[in-house]
Amino acid sequence: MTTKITRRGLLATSVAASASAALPRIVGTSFAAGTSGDPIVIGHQCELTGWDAATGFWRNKVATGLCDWLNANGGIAGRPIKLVTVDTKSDVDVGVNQLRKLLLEDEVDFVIGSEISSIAIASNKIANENKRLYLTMSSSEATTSKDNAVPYQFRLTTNSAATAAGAAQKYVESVGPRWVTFFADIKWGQSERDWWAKGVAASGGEVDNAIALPVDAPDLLPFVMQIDRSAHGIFIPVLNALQAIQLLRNSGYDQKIVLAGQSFSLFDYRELGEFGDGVFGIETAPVSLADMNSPEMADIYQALGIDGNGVDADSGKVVGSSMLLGIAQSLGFLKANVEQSGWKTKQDTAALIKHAESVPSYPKGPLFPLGDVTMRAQDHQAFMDIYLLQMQAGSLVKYGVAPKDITIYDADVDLTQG
Amino acid sequence: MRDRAGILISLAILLALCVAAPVVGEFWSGVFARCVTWMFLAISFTLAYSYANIPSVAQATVFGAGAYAAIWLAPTLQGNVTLMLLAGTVAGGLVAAVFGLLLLRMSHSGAAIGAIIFAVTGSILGNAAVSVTGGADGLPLPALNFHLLGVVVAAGPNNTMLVLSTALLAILLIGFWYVSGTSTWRIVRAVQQNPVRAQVLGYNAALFRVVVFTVAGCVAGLGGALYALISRHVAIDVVSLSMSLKSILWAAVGGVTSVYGGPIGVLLVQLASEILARWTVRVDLIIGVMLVLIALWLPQGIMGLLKRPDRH
Repeated sequence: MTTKITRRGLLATSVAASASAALPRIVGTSFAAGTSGDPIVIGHQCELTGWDAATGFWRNKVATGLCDWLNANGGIAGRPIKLVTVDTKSDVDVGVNQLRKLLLEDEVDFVIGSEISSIAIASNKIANENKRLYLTMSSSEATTSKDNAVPYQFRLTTNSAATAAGAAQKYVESVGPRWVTFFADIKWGQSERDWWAKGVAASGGEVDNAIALPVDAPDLLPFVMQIDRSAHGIFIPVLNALQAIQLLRNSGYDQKIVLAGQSFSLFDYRELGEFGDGVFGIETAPVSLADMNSPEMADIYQALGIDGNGVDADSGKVVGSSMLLGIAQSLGFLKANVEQSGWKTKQDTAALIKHAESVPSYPKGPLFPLGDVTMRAQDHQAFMDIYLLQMQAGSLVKYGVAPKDITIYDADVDLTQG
Repeated sequence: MRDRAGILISLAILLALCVAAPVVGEFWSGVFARCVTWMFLAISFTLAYSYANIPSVAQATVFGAGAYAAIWLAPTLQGNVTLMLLAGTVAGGLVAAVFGLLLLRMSHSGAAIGAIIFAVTGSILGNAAVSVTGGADGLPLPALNFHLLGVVVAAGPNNTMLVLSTALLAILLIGFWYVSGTSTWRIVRAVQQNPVRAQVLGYNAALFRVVVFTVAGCVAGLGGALYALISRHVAIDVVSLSMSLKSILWAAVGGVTSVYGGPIGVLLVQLASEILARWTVRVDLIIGVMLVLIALWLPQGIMGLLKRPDRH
């Protein structure tokens, strides 16, 4: 017991020391110190509880940490940032109500949105009605496609179409041409299913079958057993990916498994144990600093108390790296556009959007730590390199990189036309 | 017997909501409007449980039927709010009538289990039929020009919808208050208290129970249609078992033996949740403790406070 407490104390002390040591270095290299004036209020519609709390944990930690970091380093346009976080409980009804609270009660200037597609789709129109910029964290392509695209929405993370376009070719080459998709029957899962099928077909392969998993299915086994054992690979966009993999392996399925975009943020990959060996993933960021040539990400890890292997000192959890990158890039987008467009109040948000539509890319920097990010003005979708990861010998390591140019798919809307 | 204090308190609360709405701002008036839709659900449970004598934990399924009917039919009805509300009411009534006929063939405990099975089945079917219900993602209310009796109304969590919902609920409660003083209602009470004795006295107990349960379904369906108009989005969560359990919670807090308790319960629980959420994410835990305390010291809910103490 004594040893445990001592170790934890030492760990906390060392992390605090390293974080405090890191901040001045970031100040010196990236931002001017000191803020003044009225705060810029950023609302965060986050899954703090409910089924998606695992990803919400990381978005909350990163948003809080990076806003503190920004405030200690000159804020945005010299103004401090105030972050107001609300809990959606991973529920559409609560999420929408909490967004209304952010917009109407807290009168936030900008919103970092929910990661859940249903909440994001219901919310972006409300933000649009209230003329407040909504930076969606949902990775369902449907969130920004023609039925749901709205001018006051941008996405600084990747989506199902981009990940499929970027990753399918590599996985078809290395795993084989015949695939089965086992997907959650919600917008996100359907979007992953459709775009994966397109990506595999474009790479010369074929998705033989797609099995829909109702989100409230109490037992996955009847659905798992429908998977064709002769397929080369199984593509899995489901919410309970951990359970699905364990069940597949226990049921004798030994095919290669590819988890859909950002699924490794849904759980700690170490929980997979021996079942995880060889499992692939598609993320916007690797976990280990060794897989990234990025001093900027090392600074962020240090500031947030995450070690080089991606383990959080406070919680002991492995970082949801894609969540981290999405939040960082959303804040980077706000900082760049507020400062460049001369945004002062909510009345200037329309002008900020017009300005943002004229910015084709964001260079690698403290809040774009993994490289340049391309912004497509037509649907307000960002494109970035996609990292293909694989569990090897108990670690989640980089397997390959899909450069952002091959992740770009055709937009079906043009928001620049007003 | 008519409960004069109950109706007056309920109407006073509804009036207070409408008066307060312009003062407290757009967010809170939206919260109030949504609360009023849930009041219909809470009343529906009370009617089913305390008057039809059916322990239904499937009232949210009926509420959801009304909500989905309103969303599905909105384009066909060209945004006619009156017809959308009617559609929701009828849908709720039909689903409840079918439930009721089946549940009445079971014993009391069997009906409770049967209602749980209905609720779970409804949720599973709704999730499976994603193309129809939108599943967990839900369906948006189509963008239409909504109109009520020739007047254009804006759907959404706004003051207009709050006043409309409140007015409908007030009419419903006044109607109930009137009916509760009639001889027909005395038969309903007699059936509820002892269906065998009522049957022996020549009343068709099953018919009375199924009619009351169907009326409870109409109330839930109307609330569901209002919910669709106010939330502008309906997801399958609305028919979940947990939503039904919420309706029981609201009714229990307000007083499950009184129709007038539901509105009080909704307001107390939802406003407490809304306010507590500003300080903690453990809102459900606190509400759970609140329910236990009420169960221990106020078994008849808030409305129980109005009852006269025993004379002996």
